[in-house]
Amino acid sequence: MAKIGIVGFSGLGQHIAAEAVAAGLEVAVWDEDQGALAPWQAAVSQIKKAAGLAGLVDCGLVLETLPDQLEAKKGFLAQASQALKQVPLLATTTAGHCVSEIAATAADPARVVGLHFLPPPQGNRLIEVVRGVDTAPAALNRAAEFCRGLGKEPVVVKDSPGFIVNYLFAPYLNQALEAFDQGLASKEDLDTALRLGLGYPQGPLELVNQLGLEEHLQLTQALHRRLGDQRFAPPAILQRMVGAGKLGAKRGGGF
Amino acid sequence: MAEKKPVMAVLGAGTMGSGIAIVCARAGFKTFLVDNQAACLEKGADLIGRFFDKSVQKGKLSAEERNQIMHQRLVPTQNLADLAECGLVIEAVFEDLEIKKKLLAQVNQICPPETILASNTSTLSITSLAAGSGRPDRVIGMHFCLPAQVMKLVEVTRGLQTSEETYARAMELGKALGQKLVTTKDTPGFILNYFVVAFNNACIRAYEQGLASVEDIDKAVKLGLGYPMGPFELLDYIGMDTHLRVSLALYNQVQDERFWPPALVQRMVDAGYLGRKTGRGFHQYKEAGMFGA
Repeated sequence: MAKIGIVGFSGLGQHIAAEAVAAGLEVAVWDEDQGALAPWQAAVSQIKKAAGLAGLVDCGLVLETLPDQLEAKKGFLAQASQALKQVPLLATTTAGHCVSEIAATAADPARVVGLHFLPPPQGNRLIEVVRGVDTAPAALNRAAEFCRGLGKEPVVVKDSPGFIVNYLFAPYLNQALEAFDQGLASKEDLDTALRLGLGYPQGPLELVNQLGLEEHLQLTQALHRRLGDQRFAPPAILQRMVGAGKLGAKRGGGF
Repeated sequence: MAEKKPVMAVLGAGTMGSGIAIVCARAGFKTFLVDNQAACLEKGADLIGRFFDKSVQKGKLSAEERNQIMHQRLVPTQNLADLAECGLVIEAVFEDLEIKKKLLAQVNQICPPETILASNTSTLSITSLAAGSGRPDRVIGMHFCLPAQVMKLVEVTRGLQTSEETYARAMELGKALGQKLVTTKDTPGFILNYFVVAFNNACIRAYEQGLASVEDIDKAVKLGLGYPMGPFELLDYIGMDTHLRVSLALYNQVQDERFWPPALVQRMVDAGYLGRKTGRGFHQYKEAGMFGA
C-alpha cells in the first residue's frame, strides 16, 4: 500500500494523515467542506488535497473520519463504493455504530472494514479492526497490515457494540461509580486500590473525571440501548452528577 | 520511646502465605511461617529462599541480609504453640469459612489478649470469621494482593465487631510492613475481587461469544486500557480453579450475574487447564515459579 485517502477533515483524520505521512505513505484527503483543510496542510505539508473522490481512485485504502453519525457514514460508503471500484479496502472509523450496517450501503461490502482508533490516537497504539458480516479475510489482512505500517497494534474483533475495549470498559466504570455511591470505600481508596492492587494506570474515579462524566454517560447509554444489558445502564450517581452540571475535572468539577 | 518490634506469624505456607511472610521478614520483623503439613512448609520456605536469592542477584538485598532473614528472622514451624508472643497473626489458609474459624479459635487460645488476628481472606466475611474467634473485637481483614511479595496494596476491612483500637493498630502495623493501605466495607470481594472477578468473567464471556481471540482480547486490554496484564494472562496466573471458587463464593453471597462463572471456567477446570501451574490455561507455559525478586 503506497497511497491512502482520507475523507472527512476531523481531528482523527488529521492524526491518521500525519502518522501515514510519517510512515512513508502518500496521503490524499477530501471533504465536501473544503474550508477545514487549511489547518491540516499547515500541520503536515505533504498532505495532498484530492479533487473529489475521483482523486482517490489509485489508493490502497480509503477511510472516512466523518462525524460519528450513521447517515454520514452510510452516505460515504454508498458513494465511495461506486466511485472507487479499484480501491481494495474501504474503512469506516465509527466507534458507536454497526459496521455491517454501514458496509451494507456499499455495492460490495466484502472490502469494507471498521478501523476503531482508541482515544487518544496519539497515545494509544491499539486499533480495533472490525469484521463486518460480509468482510472478506483479504480485507482484514490488508487492514491489519496498514495498522502495523503505522506502528500500531491491530486486534480483530467481531462487529459487536463497543467492540472489545468499550464493551469491557463501560461496565467496569459503571460498577465503580455504583460501588462509590454505595460507600464501599472512599474515592481515594477506590482509586488507590485499583491502581496498586491491579496495576491499572488510573483509578476509575480519576479516569471518569478526565474522560468527562457526560461523555461516559452518552457512551454507556448508547451501549445500553444496543445491548439491553443491565451492566451498561447508567448508574444513578452519574445521572445525578451530570444533571448537577458536574461534567469533569475542568468542567464544573467531577468526583 | 522505641517500641519493641512485634513478632509476626503467617498461617499457611501456600503462595499467598509465603508471599506475606516475605513482606513481614523483609520489613525486619521476626516472622513465624506456620503450616500443619511438613511438605507445604518445606515448599514454602524453599520458594521464599529462592525469592531472596533472586533479590540478592538483582542487588536488592545483600547476601548477609538474605542469610539473616532465612536463618534468624524467618522461622518455619508446624507448632501453633510457638505463636505465644506474636503481636499480629495473619491467616492465609485455604479459603474455607469453617477451616478459618476453627484455626482462629485455636490461635485465640494460644496468643495473649492483645494479639490481633488478621485474615487474608478475599471472599469471606470478616464479621463472620470474627464471630467464631473468641476475640471478635480483635479480628480484622488484611487482604494482601497476589503476588504479595511484589504488590504494595493491602485492603483493611473491619467486621461489625472490630474495635477502633484494633483498626488503628492494624493500620499502623500494615504501614510498618511498607504496605499501602485502603479501608473497605465488609462486603463480598471488598474492592479488588469485586472488580476483577466481574471483569475477568466479562472477558471470558466475550471470548466464549467469539468477540475476538484470547490473544487479541489480552492485547486490547493491555494497549487500550493500559492494564499491566491481559485478563487471560492474569487468569492463568490466578489459576482457573481459584477463579471458579472465588466466582462462586461471590455469586453465592450477592446473586449478581457478573460473578457467575461462564461455562468455559468449569470446562477448563475439568480438563486440568488451570493456568501456569499446570502448564496450560488460556495460554501455554513451559515453566512454573515464583513471581518477582
